[in-house]
Order: sequence, then C-alpha cells, then structure tokens
Amino acid sequence: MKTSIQNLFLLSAILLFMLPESAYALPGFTRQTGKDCMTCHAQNMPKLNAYGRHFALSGYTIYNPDSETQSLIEGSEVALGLPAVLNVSAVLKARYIKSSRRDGLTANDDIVGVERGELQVLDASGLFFGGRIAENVGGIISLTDDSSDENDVAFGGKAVLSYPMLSGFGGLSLYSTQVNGAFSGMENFNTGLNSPLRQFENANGTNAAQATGVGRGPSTGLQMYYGDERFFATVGGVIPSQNNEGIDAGGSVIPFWRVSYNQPIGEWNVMLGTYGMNGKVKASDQSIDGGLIDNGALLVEVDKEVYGFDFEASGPIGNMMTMTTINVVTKNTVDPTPANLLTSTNLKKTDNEASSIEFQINPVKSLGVKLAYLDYTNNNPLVAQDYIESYDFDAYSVGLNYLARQNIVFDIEYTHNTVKSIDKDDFYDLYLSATIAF
Amino acid sequence: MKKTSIWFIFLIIFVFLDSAQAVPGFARQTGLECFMCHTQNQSKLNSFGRNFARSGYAMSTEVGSQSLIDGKELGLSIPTVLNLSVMLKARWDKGDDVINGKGRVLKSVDGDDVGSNRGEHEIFKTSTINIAGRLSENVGGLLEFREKEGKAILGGKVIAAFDTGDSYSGFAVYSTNNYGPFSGMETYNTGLYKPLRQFENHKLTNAAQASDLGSGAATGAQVYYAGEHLFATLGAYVPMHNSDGIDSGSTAIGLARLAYELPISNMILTVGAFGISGQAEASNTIFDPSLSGVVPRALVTVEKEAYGLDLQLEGDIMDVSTLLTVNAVFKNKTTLSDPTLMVGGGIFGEPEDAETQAYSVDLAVYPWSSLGFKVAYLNMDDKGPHTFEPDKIDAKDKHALSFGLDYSFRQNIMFTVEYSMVSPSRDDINDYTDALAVLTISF
Repeated sequence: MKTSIQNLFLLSAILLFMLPESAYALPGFTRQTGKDCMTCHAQNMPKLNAYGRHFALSGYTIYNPDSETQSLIEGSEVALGLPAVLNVSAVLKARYIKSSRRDGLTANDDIVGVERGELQVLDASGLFFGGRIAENVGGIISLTDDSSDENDVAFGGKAVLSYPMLSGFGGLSLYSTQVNGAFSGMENFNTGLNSPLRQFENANGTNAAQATGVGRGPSTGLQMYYGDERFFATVGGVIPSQNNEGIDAGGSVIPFWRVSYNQPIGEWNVMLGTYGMNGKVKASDQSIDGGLIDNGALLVEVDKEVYGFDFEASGPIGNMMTMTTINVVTKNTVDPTPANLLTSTNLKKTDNEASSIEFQINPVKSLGVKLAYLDYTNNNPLVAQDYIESYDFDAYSVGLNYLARQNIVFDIEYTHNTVKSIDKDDFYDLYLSATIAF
Repeated sequence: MKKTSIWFIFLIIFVFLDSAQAVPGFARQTGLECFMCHTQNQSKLNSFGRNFARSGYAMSTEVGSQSLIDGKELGLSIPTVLNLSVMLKARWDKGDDVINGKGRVLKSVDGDDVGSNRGEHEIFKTSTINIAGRLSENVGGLLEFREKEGKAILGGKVIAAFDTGDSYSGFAVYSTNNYGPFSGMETYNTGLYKPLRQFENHKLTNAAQASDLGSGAATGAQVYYAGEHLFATLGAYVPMHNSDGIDSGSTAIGLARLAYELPISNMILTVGAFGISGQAEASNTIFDPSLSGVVPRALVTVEKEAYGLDLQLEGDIMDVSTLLTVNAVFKNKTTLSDPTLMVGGGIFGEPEDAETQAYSVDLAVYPWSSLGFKVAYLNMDDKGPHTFEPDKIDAKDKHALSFGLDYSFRQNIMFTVEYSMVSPSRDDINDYTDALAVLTISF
C-alpha cells in the first residue's frame, strides 16, 4: 500500500512537470472550428457524439469562416481552400499499470514488468497534424513513438475526400496506421472498432473488438463511405499491416464492410451496427511483416475472416449523461500460409471471439463512473500475441474518469480477470492514466 | 537513438507549441496561393518561387494574416507564427521485370515476383513534416523531419539573404541525408536539387538523379549571388549527414554552379553549368554510422569529381504552359581511398566505388491549368569499376522513355501517373517497364 501511494505521488509529480501552459489551450479541431472540445466529444475525449461523427464524416473540413486566423487561402485558376493555419495537436499520456497476472517472472523468479508496477510516461503519446487540407479534403496525420525495439517512430494517418450528398457526406478514406485497426479509415462510434473510440483505457480487459484484435493493430487500406445522422455504410479493402516503404500485395486486399443505423429518440441516440471482413491478401513475408524486400523473400497468404455486431446508446438519465456500448465479435480468424512465418501482431494464426458491454454515467459533467464486462474465448490456444490472450477469461471492470479540463482527463480503472480454460489464478489489472491533449 | 528521437519530438512540442497554433507553410507566411511560386504543379518553381527561395524564404507580404515582431535596439523581425507544413505521398508502384542494382529481377525463394514487380503499396512513403520560412530579418530556413524505415531523420538549411536591389546575395548552411550537395541553394527544375524535377520516378527520367549527383547525404555551406539574369554559387561540403558530428577537420569538397536566364518573348531560357571537385576525409563510422561497432574506426578519404550542363525553358507556347528541362552529367565519379574500411554487409566500398554519365530531356505541357502531360528520355552509362561487386558492372546502363500526366485536384493535392519503358544496355538484362501512380498532398 505504501508503495502504491509512493507511485501515485511520483505519477502526480511527473504530470505536474509535464503540464505546459499550452495544455490548457484547445486542440487542433477546436482551433479550426472555434468550438469547444465537448461539442464533438461525449462525456470525455476521445469518445464522439453525434456532432463529432458529423465532423469526421465531413473529412474534418468544417471550419470557422468568421475566424481571422483560420481563414482560407483560395486559389485562382486551380482550387485551393487551404486553411491559413495548420492545426497541430499533441496528445500526452502517462500511465501507471499494476497487475497480478504473474506472467512476468524472470529466471530468478523476480517479478518484472506490469506485475511489478510499470510507469509508462509518454507511451502512446504523439503529435497529430490534422483538419482541413483543402476544399473537400481533410485528414489526420500522426507521429507517435513506436513501441518496437527496431523503430523510433511510427508515421500514420488518413486522408479523407468528402462531399456533401443526400443528407450527409460521402467520400473516400485512404489510411495507414500502426495501432488503430482495419476500420479506422472512417469509423466514428465508440464501440471499439476504431481503437481510440472506446470507453476504457484497459482495452484488453473491457472491449471485445480490442481484446480479439479486430479493432486494433497495423492496417493499410482504402474505404468508401456514406454517412448521415442515421445511416452509415462503408466498404473497403485492407492489408492488415503497415509498412510505409511498401507492401507488395499486388492487387490482393481483404474486403471489409460495416453498416450501422442510429435512431435519435428525444435526447438519446441508439445505434445498432454490424461489420465483417473476409478475404485473403498475399505479399512477401518481409514487406508485410514490416521489413525490406530482398532476395530470399517468400510469399505469404493471410486469410482473415471477421464478423460481429455492435450497439451504442447515449443519452441522459435524469440530468446524468450515460453511454452504453456493446460489441460482439462472433468470429475472428487469421490464417497465414505458411503458418508461423510472420511475427507481426495481427498476422499470426488467430481464432477467437468475444462479447463485451460497457457503461458510463456522469453524475456530474466532469466525473464519470464506468463498468464493463468482457467474455473472451480463445479457440487457438497455441499462439498468443502482444495483446491477444491464449486462454479464455471473463473480466469485470470498474472505473472513474475525471475531467480536470475538457482536454485533461484522469482515469482510474480496476479489472478482475477470471481465467477459465487453463490452470491459472484469477488476477487483477490496475490502470491509472492521465491524458492531455493540446 | 529511440529515446533521443521521441524526446526531440516533444522538445519541439514544448518549445514551439505557441507558434504551432498559427500560420504554417510558405503560402501561409505570404498569404499567397501555392501557384504564385509554383509552375504547372506544386513540385516545380517559377521565377517568383526562385526569388522567394533566394530571399531565404524570408519574403513576407501585406496580403497574409501574419505580422512581424520587430526588435528595438537589435534586429529581429520574426513572424508571429512558426510555419509548419506536412507533405504526404501515397504511391502504387507496379513494375514488369524491374531489376535491382545488380541487374537481377528479384524473386521469392519459390520464383514468384516480389517488390514492385508484384505491385507495391507505399502509403505514406517519403512523407515529411517541415518547419520553414522567415526566421528573422534577412534570415530564413527549412527544417525537415522525415520518417524512413521507422527511423527519425532530421535535415534542413538556414539561409542568410540580402536584398541588393534587383538581386539577392547570401549564404546557406545545410545538412541533408537525401537531397544532395546543391541543396543549400538551387532553384531550377533540372534535378540538381532532388525535390525540383519533373517526374516522380526520378531515377528513370532525370540525369542528375539517375547518376546520384543531385541526391544523397551532404553537409555544407554555399555562398550565392542571384541577379535578374545571373545565378552563381560556390560552396564546400562533405558527402555525409550525421547530426552527432562529422570529424572531417578542415577537409571539404568544393562545388560551383552558374546559370544565366535569358528572357525570350514570354519565355525564359536558362542555361547552366555545375561542377564538384575535391576530397573529404572523415571516420568511416561517421560516414556510415551502421558500421559503428562492426569495423574498427579509421579515417577514409572520399574523392569526388563531377561536372555537367543543364537547361530550362519555361513559359507559354500558344497559351500552353510549357517546361523543358535538360540535364547532362558528363562525369560523376566517387573514389574511396581504402574501400576495405567501408565493409558493410560484406560489401566493400559500395556504392562509393562509382562513376556515372547521364543525359536527360524532360518536357511537360499543360493544356489546362490543372492537367499536364509529360515525356522524358534518359540515357545512363555506368562506368563504375565495381571492383568488389563485378555483377554491378554496366547494370545501370540504359535508355529510358517515360510518359506521364499530372492532375492538380487542388493546388496542394496532385495525382500523378507515370509509365517508363527501359532498355538496359547489357545483353543479359531484359527490357522492363515501371508504372507509378502517386497522390501528393501538402498542407
């Protein structure tokens, strides 16, 4: 207990030093639109509300025409519409994670890693360049720390072409990401299909799409979409890998789709959606695994099949804002041929399914209380990946998040994991985190 | 390295955050549209763009929303904003029997096509983040951050420029891992400075690029004069880029470049010449940091000799915007004093054991403001002895004919499609083709 208090004190001290004055300013999109963070975010960042979805569907091109500093530079013979400002944001994260899972024993039986208690300052942090790029074009480009030993940084993002049509927007999204998953070109609900959009920081222990790997990991793809207040549909092709130097997949990509319907009911929004992915991609092992192509390469075929559905309901109970999200991954298989040649996350042989329900209620606007339940089943117990467990488990989570400012969130989460399929003691995960966006 | 890089990124955040909220990019600094400085598309400079570069990127206008903060007793004149820009490139590369540097078509162990011969998605390759523009009165610069194969690479230049009526004079200090020895101050579109060229597929269309003269690592300084008609620069550089330090002592390789602009009706004809000659000496592990810990540290001397001519004709022919560029690299020779000191991956002294000669002609015509067609011819002769890798001998000898079109969807968003047909000179290498589709977004 004494150690935990010391760790908390240390975390607080580090956060104090990390807080520059600018952290109190508003991040990129708020600068572009002139609207505050909570215009787009529900309960806390980064979860999106209806207007946030509308802004994303516009390709992040909506701007404030009355702003002097955010005016547009127009073209004469060839169109331009370039904002007079490039909006840059930084997202800083500091986390303290403690677990009792007892996976991290050394040869001397020393407890290491998160089992010992791990302070992760600036992990998952990054720079984001985003917003309107030109008339009908916008995007987000990220420059983040790469957690691998080989790389310093990961450069990713998306460029979105968006046109107003019918009562919403239609367009294309070209994307490449190290972390956000196959649907991240255009996915705006908070059910975990797009990795940042979820309710808990502890993604593995709370969200089905995250625990199975469906909504996270490296992806490069192109999506076509239409979305309005009620209806959203997208189809695309994806390669479950990121390699800016090139992936020699030829014409092979894995098709995917996603449909959702959102029904506004008074102050509530109720969404029901479904998603799927089924196909094969074939590329040389080095290029799809993040390396360089050279002699001795071997073509590898990755067969991926995913199905599931999700649900989101958000609205007030009394004066208290709530959000409930459900995600059910009915199938997630990854089948590489030849097997066991690839090492990257999301490319190893996988067969799992999961369902999760998450709920958050804010008794006051700045304070949220949240609960989650996750049921995870692994059908391929031979292989574990970075964040994909090789055993079945149930996880019960509780958490609190507190908004010191709209762009400064403190989070505390506790998850109790009950292991079912192997002889392993129940264990807990404790997450303390602070996120600052500016 | 890893921690250094990420902390440097966050240093930039903390130091420059206030400025980062405001107006980035040269267009933002001047308040002028992109095509004020660019001809035909966003990658090539016109005469106004050349003058802007020669002003050290320090030119400001009354049009934009940016003002200057002036000093009282000491000069300052710093913009109220720090200008940031991002350039993204997404490419699709599809070759047919494209070869590597040894003249071989790469195959998998099962004999299948790999790499561009299979069709390669490069998203978002060669993308950069730039901090650029006016730094103070008479001073400007460009700092570039680039990710390559997961590593963070930083390069850039600082320019001091003085307006002397109809001319600019100044000097530039630069360090780049990519843009070549002339990157301190070079503003014509003939490929001497890697970003300023007509085709995306630079190795198959431009002599300075194919011969590796206008690309690669360089750290140096240039003095220059740019008048209404005459551009001249002298400089010295070492052919390496290492932010941790280069122990080249007082050794450096000299460079010179001269260009004369002649207005002809509503066109401008520019004829130029360039040359490089000298030796630089530095540690082998500084020259190639990947050798550190692999080979004993020792001094290695790099001798370079290069010269050539270039020509640019720009303007309207029957109201059609036209840009013709010619580059002739008569000689580009690099010699190492002791190639055995540069042993990396079992290769001795490569690629410095090289001598090339190349000629290219590139032509782009724009019937419409947003749509242009282009054609290029390249002849390349690799005279390198390739003492330690004889299978490279004459592997790069070729004729290449390329076609392409550029479509500017917006001034800062361009689609490019290019197709090259290559006839290698060596009998044992088959003809090959390379198709490239590129989306370039700058914002």
